[in-house]
Amino acid sequence: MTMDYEVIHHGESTIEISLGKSIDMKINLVVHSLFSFLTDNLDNRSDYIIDFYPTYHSIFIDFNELKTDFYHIKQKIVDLMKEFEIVGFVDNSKKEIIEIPVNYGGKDGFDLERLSSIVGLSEKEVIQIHTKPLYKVFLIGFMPGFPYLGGLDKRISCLRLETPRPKIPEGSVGIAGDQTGIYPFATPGGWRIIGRTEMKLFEIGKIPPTKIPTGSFVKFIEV
Amino acid sequence: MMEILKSGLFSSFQDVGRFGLKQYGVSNSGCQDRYSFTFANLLLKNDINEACIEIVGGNFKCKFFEKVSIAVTGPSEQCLINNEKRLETYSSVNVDVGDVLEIKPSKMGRIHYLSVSGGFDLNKILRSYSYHSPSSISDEYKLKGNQKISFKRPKITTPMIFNQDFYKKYIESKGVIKIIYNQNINKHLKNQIESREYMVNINSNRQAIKLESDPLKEFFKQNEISNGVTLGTVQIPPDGQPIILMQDSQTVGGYKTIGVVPKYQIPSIAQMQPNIPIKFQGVSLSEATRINRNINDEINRSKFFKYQFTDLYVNNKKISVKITENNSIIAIADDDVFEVYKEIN
Repeated sequence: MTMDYEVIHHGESTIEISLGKSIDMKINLVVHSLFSFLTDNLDNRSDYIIDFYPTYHSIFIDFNELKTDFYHIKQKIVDLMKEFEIVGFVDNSKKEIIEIPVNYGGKDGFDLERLSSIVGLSEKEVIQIHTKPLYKVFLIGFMPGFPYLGGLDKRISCLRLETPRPKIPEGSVGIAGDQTGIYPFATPGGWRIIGRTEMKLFEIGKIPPTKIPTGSFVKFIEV
Repeated sequence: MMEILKSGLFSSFQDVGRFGLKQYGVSNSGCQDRYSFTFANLLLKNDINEACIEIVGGNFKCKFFEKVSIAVTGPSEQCLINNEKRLETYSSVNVDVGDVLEIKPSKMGRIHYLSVSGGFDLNKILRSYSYHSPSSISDEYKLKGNQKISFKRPKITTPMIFNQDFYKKYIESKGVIKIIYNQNINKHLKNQIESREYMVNINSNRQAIKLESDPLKEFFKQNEISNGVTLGTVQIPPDGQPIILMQDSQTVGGYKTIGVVPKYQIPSIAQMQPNIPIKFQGVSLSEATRINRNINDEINRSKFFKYQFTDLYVNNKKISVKITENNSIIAIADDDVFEVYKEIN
């Protein structure tokens, strides 16, 4: 398999391996496959890599610019990409499914009523549609352990709030555009909150600290 | 042990940062002025990653309950011990039981570092001692008034001083922000960016430094997919006003980016004061790498001098004199009519 990719610098000590420019399930699968290939063949074998992480369509590497430079790592990546093309893409997205119990609506899901009327469905229908799919964790970002979940049914997709709320409670489950996500901590935020989970998503005493790693799957269960 | 009497505008524990956890959405955090941070530990022969207190905006006061050597680095300013001008930045001193240290706001920068010999007694959170301001993962690292802090292995070391020109040379703002442009930024846009004069917005914080100028209208319309960002990434949101991402920024961002500020400029940007005009200036990847390495070599080669206090009386006025081992004199008057005179090397 020949792959289209670009190696881009962001300043003198960050490299992006870009596999595309869109939010796309297929590209994201390749990103995670390449991420674990490079974890074994680049990250774990180099002392100059400071941080290494996947996004929707890219892999980012922060490195120590005192020990190496962009051109050296770029060459290494080009060589490793040839190897990756031979080994081929392996769907190694973490097969584990994490079930998240959610209290929908009411005090916990204070935007459910409004969202239902915007999308023209009953609250019950929104909950049914939201609990149906197996969501893929595309990306963790925004704040520690915040999973961006792909696979939301377009019927309940809804734009984020124009003005973010000053405080969203810990565990809140929200919708923004075509994505759904969970707030691991109380924070300001603009997602529309449809429910809340009691499950602790992020534990500072553990590495990895998050229960929902990138590449895994999430299923919401109504309680 | 010490007690915080005044925690100032914003004081927190920081080390070099929290690395390798961006895949879990955990920001790097860490000291904003890496150079001053490093010197705070070097002056006391601490581990170079030992946690320091990062003091933003001065107005900091603490009281010591045991003998220990301390160091303060940051904008050149004298700190008060028991209301006397006794400690210059980029030097260490021994404090006694009951001594009170005061760090005032400076006109030459925003951030000071306070280190103690042997380090503060803290537990690491996710591999690091750094406070992350936007989340609650490390709340215990944010300092509050009346808080008591224990020391790990308090030691008394020989007071040392370092040539302060380093701050002037590499950290104090020269009115220019260097930027390594992204590959796709064309000449016209570079001209647009570099012709403008910017001011630092007072709403800047550990997540981002916000700049203000005539908006860059090329960026008014955008619909970006969130992607990775790094320390120094320059984003242009739809309002056309640049944002420079700092240590506590999110790991991904959804605005257009034009480039990244090189590592050696970050301390200077962190120390920038509001209301001073600044301009962007492009720098190449290889030039930035070269400068990073040169400054790092200079830090590794830096020499510290032992010094001693002596009190002299001139015309009935007491002057504290610091004499370094190479016989340079640093005189500090307790009266403002005397100018601070300093010569090392």
